[in-house]
Amino acid sequence: MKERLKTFLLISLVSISIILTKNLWLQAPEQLFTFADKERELNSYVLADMIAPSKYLLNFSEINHTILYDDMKYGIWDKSKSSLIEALTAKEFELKEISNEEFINYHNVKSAVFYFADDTNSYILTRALDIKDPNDIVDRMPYMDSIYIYLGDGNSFFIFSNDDKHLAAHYPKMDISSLKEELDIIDESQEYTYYHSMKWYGAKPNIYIPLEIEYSLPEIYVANDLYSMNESEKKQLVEKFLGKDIGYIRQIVEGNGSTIYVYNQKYLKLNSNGLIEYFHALENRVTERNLFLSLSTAADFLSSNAEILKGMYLADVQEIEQDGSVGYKLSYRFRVRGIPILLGNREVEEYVTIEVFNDHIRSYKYYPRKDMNKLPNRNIDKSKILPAFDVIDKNAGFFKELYIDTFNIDNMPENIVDGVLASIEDITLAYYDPCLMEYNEKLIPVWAIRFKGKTYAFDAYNGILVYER
Amino acid sequence: MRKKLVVAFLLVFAIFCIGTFNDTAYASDANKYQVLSPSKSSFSITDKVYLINGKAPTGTDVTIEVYGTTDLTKKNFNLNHLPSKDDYISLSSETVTSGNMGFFQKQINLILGINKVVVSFDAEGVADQEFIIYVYNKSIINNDRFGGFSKLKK
Repeated sequence: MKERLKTFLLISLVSISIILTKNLWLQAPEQLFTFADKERELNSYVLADMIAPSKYLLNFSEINHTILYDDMKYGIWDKSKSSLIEALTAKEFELKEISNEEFINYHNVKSAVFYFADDTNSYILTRALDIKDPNDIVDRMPYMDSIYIYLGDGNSFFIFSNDDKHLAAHYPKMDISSLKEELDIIDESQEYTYYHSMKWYGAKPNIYIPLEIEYSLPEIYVANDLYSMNESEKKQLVEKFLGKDIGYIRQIVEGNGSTIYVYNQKYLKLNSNGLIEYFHALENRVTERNLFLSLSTAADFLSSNAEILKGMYLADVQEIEQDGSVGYKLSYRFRVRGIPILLGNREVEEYVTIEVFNDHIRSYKYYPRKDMNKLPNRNIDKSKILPAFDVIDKNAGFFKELYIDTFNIDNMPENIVDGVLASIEDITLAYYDPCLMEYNEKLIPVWAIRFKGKTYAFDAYNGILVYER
Repeated sequence: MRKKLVVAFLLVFAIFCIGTFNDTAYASDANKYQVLSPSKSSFSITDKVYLINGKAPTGTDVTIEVYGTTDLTKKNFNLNHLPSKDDYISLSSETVTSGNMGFFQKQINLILGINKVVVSFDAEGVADQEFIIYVYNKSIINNDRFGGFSKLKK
């Protein structure tokens, strides 16, 4: 009996040792790869990072919708990518152009809509999705501002949209069952803020606002990186940009405290207002624009020079011309914890602007503001943020005046409220960076309302206008 | 006799005109008090959260009362078999005020089964508005009127 027990113990020990050895040898390399991925995440900035949706609308029914600014929790965009790639590469697919009315109607059924920050070039989107040979959809819809996925009964489909133009696309064997399941889980959990269509106020039906908000946004403090740099760090920064040892670099100190570093045709200016400016004159004339090459050049440049890449997204692309050369001006903004930040410094155009001429970066301007990752203050006022319509209502007089000014109307028309509401183009939750302090600058949660092409931001706690641009 | 007839006709005409004028004045006043959502007086949904909104002159108090029925009665109420007044139980009652833009709104919670929503305006001569909302379990009935890609119009 004793011998049998010993044998059993021996077999158990051998089995345990085999299991542990397997874990050691088969799981450790996987962990190493995970580590390598994280490194890549922190140190490189690729096209796919630039072109990601700015907000996500989830439609559960005609009545219930929600908007997410951060997809980290559910990963809906990531789960949609494989089907989206299929839709944009499939050789056999069906297309139907649908009316704006029909498109809006399809928001009343289970579906998801991905909104992009700016009209996204469809070809660039396909490159960001690593599609080598896109199908005709890209030609039929060269720019997109949103992508819709139908998740209701019957065969699923995408709707690619730009303003009022909508193209529905379906390919055989389209399977988005995992996305449907995810939406069901979110719906059943009911742990989301209910958003309602502004159609009930006579405004654009594809604008959604919450009426009751049970949360306050996290307090976020930012600091300007340049001010906190010591001389050695500044030296490293200069050498990184100009690609030469500091001993070879000419230095000019201006009266206002700004310093210019010069090497050959390259300049780097560390401004006293915290702005970093880089300039490298064009060496050859560029006669033909290539957006994909320009974006890739910008991504490589940002990966090797920018300190902060997390949360950065491409907000605007403009075609430019300089001394007979043609290129692009790219503007980037930041999101902090998924919420976009509005820059309040009028001396600075955007957080990051890059002038790129195919493979050449002509200029780069960067206003570095870093999340200080402060621990939440437990003694803060736990007041909730105001619903967006309350903010509009509090500022009814302002909007009426704005409407009269915008449309050059002499007398206040009787139906001015209808006119005001119909002129609202978008409502988004955002943070406003007043740019008044070098350290400990508290970002203000705002409702950013786009009214006839201009953005007005109102403090989300008290409804006071804090920003217009 | 003819004079009498003319006088009588004028009197009747005057009374008719006054009546019409009053009706018109009331109608234009009543138009200022509107419930926009819901837009139908009785309907069925699967959602337990609903938006009540409408128009009323700035500063008007609007009371939104929500009533439900419990399943304990086992009377299987639906839109064709509505509960009697006694079968309803009060779920919530809240007064909101119409804002500067002339809108009022409230997000209400409903329960499964028949719900009655009564919207009352604190204004003379404006009738209460009643809505019946039948909330059903989405797993019981599949009522997707949209359909997939094939249902899209060309």
